[in-house]
Amino acid sequence: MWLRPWPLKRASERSDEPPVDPCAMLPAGAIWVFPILIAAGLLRILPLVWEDQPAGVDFGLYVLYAERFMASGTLPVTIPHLQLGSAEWQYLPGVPALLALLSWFASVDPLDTIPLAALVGSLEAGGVLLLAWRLFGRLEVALVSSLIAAAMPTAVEMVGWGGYPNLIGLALLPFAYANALLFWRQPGIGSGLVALLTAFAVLMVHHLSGLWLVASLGVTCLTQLLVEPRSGLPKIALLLPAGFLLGLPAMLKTATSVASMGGLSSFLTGAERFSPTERFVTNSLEHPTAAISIAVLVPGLAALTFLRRVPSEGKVLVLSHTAIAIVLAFGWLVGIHFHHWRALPFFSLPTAIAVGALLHLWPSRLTRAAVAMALVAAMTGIAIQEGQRVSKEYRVLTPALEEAAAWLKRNSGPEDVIVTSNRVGFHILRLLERPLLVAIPLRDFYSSHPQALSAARDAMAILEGDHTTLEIRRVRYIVIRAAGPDVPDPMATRTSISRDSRLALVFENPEVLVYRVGP
Amino acid sequence: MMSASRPSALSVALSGVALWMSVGALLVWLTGGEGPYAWTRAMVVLSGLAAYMLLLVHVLLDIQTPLPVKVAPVGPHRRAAVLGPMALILVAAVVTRTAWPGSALLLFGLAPLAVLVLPGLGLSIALLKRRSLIEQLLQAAPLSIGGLLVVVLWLDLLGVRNSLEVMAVCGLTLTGLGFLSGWRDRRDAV
Repeated sequence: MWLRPWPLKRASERSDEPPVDPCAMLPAGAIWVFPILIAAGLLRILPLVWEDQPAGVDFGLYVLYAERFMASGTLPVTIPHLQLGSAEWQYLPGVPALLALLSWFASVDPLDTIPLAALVGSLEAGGVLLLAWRLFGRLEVALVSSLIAAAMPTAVEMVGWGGYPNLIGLALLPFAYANALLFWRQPGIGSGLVALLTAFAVLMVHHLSGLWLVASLGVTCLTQLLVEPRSGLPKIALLLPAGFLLGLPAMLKTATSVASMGGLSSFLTGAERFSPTERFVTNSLEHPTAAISIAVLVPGLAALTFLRRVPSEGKVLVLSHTAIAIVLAFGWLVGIHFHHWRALPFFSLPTAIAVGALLHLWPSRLTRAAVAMALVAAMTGIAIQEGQRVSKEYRVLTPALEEAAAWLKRNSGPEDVIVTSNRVGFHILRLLERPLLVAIPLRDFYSSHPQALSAARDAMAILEGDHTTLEIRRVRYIVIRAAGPDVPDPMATRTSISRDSRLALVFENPEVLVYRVGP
Repeated sequence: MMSASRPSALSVALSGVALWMSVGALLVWLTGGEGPYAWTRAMVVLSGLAAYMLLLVHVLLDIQTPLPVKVAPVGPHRRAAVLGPMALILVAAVVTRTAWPGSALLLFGLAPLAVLVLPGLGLSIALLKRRSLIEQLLQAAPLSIGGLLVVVLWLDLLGVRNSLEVMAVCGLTLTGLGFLSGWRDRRDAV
C-alpha cells in the first residue's frame, strides 16, 4: 500500500484527468502572459528608477566589456587595469555582447542600454509559463506559476546589485528546460534547434546557470535513457552534430575561460571560507521570501512528484534542478565548496513550479484563486520593498563618483596605482584608465578571479588598516565612499586611515573621499 | 500506471533511508567525525538526500509510456499575419535609426524589437512551425539572444570583426528565415 499524506492522496486520486501532453498547444488565453511580462518588467526596473541614479555595482564591468567589444570588433580577453591587469575576463560574453548590439542599433552609449538588460530579465515569467504548461497542462496553473516568477523578489535584488548575467541566465533557464521537454517528446530538427539555441543562450550568458542547466538536463537524460534507451539514444544522436556545430565557439570560450581561472576546481575553491557566517544564514533564512519559498517548496514538490498526470521527465528535471540547488546551497555543511549565497537564486524556479503543483491539491476554484492571490500579493509586496531597499543600498554610479573620477584623471599619472573599496571599484575602472586594486573579500559569499586573488586580498587588507603593502604595490591614491554601505565599512576604513600620517585627504565631496599616499 | 509487482512505498522508504544512513556512517567514519556536531550534520544532510532519492525512486517507478504526439494544425494565415507587423517594425526601426539616432523611441521601443525580438521571431516561425502564435512570440526573445550570440561567437572564432553592418546582415538573415517560411506557408495554403 502506498503511503501518502492526506492532501496528496486526494490529489492523486483524481484520476479522471488525462495525463499531460507536453506537446499540447498553448490556448489563446495564454495571451494573458504578456501583461504578466509587463508587470515583471516594471518590478525589475524599480531599482533603476526609484532614486535619481540607477542602482548597481557590477554593471560597470559589463559596460566596459561592451565598450571594448564595440571599439575592437572582437571579444576582449583581458581587463586592462583591474587588479593591476592580472586578470582575464571571468564573465561570459553574453550580456556585454547584447548591450553592444543594442547600443550599436540605438546609436547610444552601452551604459544607456542597462535598463533594457533589466527588462530582458522579465522573460523569466514567459519561460515559467511555458514550462508549467508542459508540466501541468492547465492554463490557470501555468499563469499563476508565471505570476510567482514575475513577482520573485530575488530578481529585483539582482538588478539592484547589477547582476545581469545572473538575472538573464535565470530568465532563460525555464525556456531551455521547456524546449528540452518539447524535444524529448517531439524530436525533430526544428524542436532540436530551438532546444539547442535556448540552451546555448543560457551557457553564453551565465556560467552558474549553465552549470545548473547541464547538470539538470544530464540527470534527466540519464534517467530517461535508463528507462527507455531505445527511443532515447536516437534523440541524443540527432542533437549531437547540430549541437557541436552551433556550440563549438561557446564551448571553446567556456573552456578557455575556465582554464584561465586555473580550472573549475580552482574557481570553485578560490574563496578562503565557504561556510557562511551564522548571521548570514540566519538572515537569509529569516527573509520573508525564504519563509514563503520553503512553505510552498516542500509540499509543492511532493505534490509534483505524486501527480500522475505530470510527465515523468518533467518531474525528474524539476527535482534534479532543486536537488542541485540544495546540495550547492547547503553542501558547506559537509565540506562541499560552493558559495551558499550564489545557489539561493536557483530556488526561484522550483518555487514557482511548486506553487503550480500545490494548486492541484485544491479542487475548489475559489480556494485555488485565494491561495494564488495571497502568494502573488505577498511576493509582490516583498519585491517592491526589496526594490526600495536595494535602490538606496547599491546607488553607486552618481555624479559625485564621476566628479571624483574626473578629479583623479586630472591629478594622477597614467601609472599611479589606485586602491578602491568594493562597490566603487567596477565603476571607477570604467571611468578612469589607471592601474586599480579593488577590494574583494574572499570569505563568506564573495568570490574573485583566482588569477587576481592576491591583488584583491592586498586591497582589502589596505582598506582594513594593514598598510604594509602600500609601498610594495606602489599605491598612490585610495578611493572610498564617504559613508553608507560598502565593503569594507567606510567608517572603519576612515578610522584606520586617520591613524597613518602618510595618507592625506586630497579630494572630498558628500559621497566620495580620495586620499593620497605620501612618502 | 501502477502494477502489483512494484515494491511498496514503505519498503522503498526503509531501503532508501537505510542505504543513506549506511553511506553517512561510512563517510563520517572515513572523515574521522571531526567536530562535536559531525554526526548531526551528516544525518541532516543525508536525510535530505534520502528524501530526494525516495522521491526520485517514486518518479522512476511511476514512469509512463510516452503519449502519441497530438499536434493541432495551425493555419498558415495566422503565421502570415505576423509578417506584415514584422516588416513594419523593421522599416520603422531602420528609418528611426537613420533619422533620429539615439532617440528614446529608438532605444526603448524599436531597437529592442529589432535586436531582441525580430531575429528570434524569424527563427521561431521557421523552426516551430506547428506551435501556436503565442508560443512563437514568447520564444522570440530567447531565440534572438541564442541565435545572435552564436553568430557573434562564430565570427569571433573565425576572426571576422563584429560591427553594426555585419550584425545587421546576420540579424536580417535570421529575420528573413521567418519571412521565407511564413511566405511559403501562405503560398502553399493559397
